[in-house]
Amino acid sequence: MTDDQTRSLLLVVLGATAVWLWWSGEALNYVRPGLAPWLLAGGVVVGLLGLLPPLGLLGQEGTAQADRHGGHHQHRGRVGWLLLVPVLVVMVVQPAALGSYAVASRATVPGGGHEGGFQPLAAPVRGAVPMSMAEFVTRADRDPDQSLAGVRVRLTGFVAPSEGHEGGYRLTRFVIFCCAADAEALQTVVRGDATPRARDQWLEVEGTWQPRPPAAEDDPSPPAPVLHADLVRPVAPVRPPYEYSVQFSG
Amino acid sequence: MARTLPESDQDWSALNQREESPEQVHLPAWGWLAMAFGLAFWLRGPLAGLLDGPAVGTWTTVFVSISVQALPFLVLGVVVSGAIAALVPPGWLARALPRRPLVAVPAAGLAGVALPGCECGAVPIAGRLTARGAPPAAALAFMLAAPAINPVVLVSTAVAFPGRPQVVGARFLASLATAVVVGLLWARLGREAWIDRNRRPNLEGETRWRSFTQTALHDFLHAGGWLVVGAMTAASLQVAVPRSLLDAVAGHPVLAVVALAGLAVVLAVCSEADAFVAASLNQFSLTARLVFMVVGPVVDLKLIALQTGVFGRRFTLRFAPLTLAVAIISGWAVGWWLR
Repeated sequence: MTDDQTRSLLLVVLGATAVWLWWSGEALNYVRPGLAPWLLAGGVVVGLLGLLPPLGLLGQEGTAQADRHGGHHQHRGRVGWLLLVPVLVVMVVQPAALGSYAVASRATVPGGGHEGGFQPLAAPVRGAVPMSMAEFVTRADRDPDQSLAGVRVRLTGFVAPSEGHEGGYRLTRFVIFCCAADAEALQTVVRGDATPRARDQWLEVEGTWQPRPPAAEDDPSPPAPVLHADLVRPVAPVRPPYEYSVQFSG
Repeated sequence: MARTLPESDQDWSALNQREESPEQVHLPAWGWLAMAFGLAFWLRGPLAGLLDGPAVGTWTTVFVSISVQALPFLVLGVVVSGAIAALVPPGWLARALPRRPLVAVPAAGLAGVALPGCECGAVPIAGRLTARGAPPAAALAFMLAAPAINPVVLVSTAVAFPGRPQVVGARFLASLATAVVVGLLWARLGREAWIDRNRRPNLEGETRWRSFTQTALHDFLHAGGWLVVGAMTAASLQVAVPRSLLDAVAGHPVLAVVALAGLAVVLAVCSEADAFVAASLNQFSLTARLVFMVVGPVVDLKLIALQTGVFGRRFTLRFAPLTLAVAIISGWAVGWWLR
């Protein structure tokens, strides 16, 4: 085998990894769904680039002259090998979606800017209004009309520890914009659940919001909203694992 | 003169030189590759356990995310780069572009509107443009402007800041100003020797198809390897530095701007998404958030790594600090006007 073939092998393995991430849906642990088809396309192009030389499709070698700086190149050529690192990490660890340990530095609060007021709530399904964590937290923090007051809602998220003396645990969803590197955590405190819950357990929680006045627009860290749970059900991790807008655009 | 392989083949033959000397182990590079995979599978259990710690888990997710997110844009970049190598005759760019930097640099910056996508693709394209004889100042202005002022990014900015179209205008202005000012400064102060020109395949006399494939292969392996370096650094800093540090300085007019500029460098978010991140940093002033959006597409850890791979270390040591300073000042000035 020549080194051309080694390079080809590296590119084919990389391309195949990208295609597999798309095919298995694992890509959704890392990027928003809109990027997944592009990952497929990128993986196919990389794999084809790798397949060209062994298939003899690279084209005839021309009359390129010797490059007299060959000595410098030995180090540079090797940097391409680093492309194996993400491939090996994906193969060996298959990193999961971000979980409760990533929350600490990423908590966020949706902004205001709802001059037109909030849209009416969706219709209840099986006795509770299903909503995204973004909608719940945005309404709780920003709606001057307190549209959540007295409404039974149904939220889905995973368990993260509560902070300070707030009690219970924090039901959490990550919101991502492009990839998990820009993830931010939306959280609500859940009270009234007698069962101890394991960290990172996914739950479906039904209950009512504990009303409080909207947070000040310039408050960097208003207390998390509180949900009084009356029905808690463990569920399988939700796919895709993230929400994709930090702000419910009511 | 002897006919030899182009550079990209030499890169890889470097690995074979070990093989050629008799006193060393006779294991070709593909053997190492196979061994790495075998070892990884064999150690899967223990390795997975070792990498299961909370911080390491977050690190691997963030690292793979940045790599996966950048891959399609990098592929787009090297395909365009290959097309430039194949279709643009050497020397044509130097003749076609206006000679005076005062005309060429702003024109190249505005041309950035035409490249939809993220910053990862623009770096190999700019590298190829300089290799094909474009004045570095113009190519660099294009590289800085393209990821910040293209329609996709401007639309996502408008969506992220509903009801505040002036943010879109401010971002466009401040980013274009950054690209043009850095380009003009480079035209005046930049030295030819700072850009490493040894790292391109020699394509003289090659067919178009071979020029295209060799360039795309070469650029992908170089830029891709450096991208991995950038992704590892960004993931490490994200895990090591808690973002809650930011809240402490959010109220301070100067520190807030510096903190968000630093966050843009560390986060390495792609430019199509950074407006949403900026919108969610609502404890910060609009000026600080504008600086975040102006710095992000021009200086971040993965870009610094990519630029080192494409232009060399001597270049990046000067270019990254210059760009960071100009971007902060430009964002700050426009943000002040915005208020």
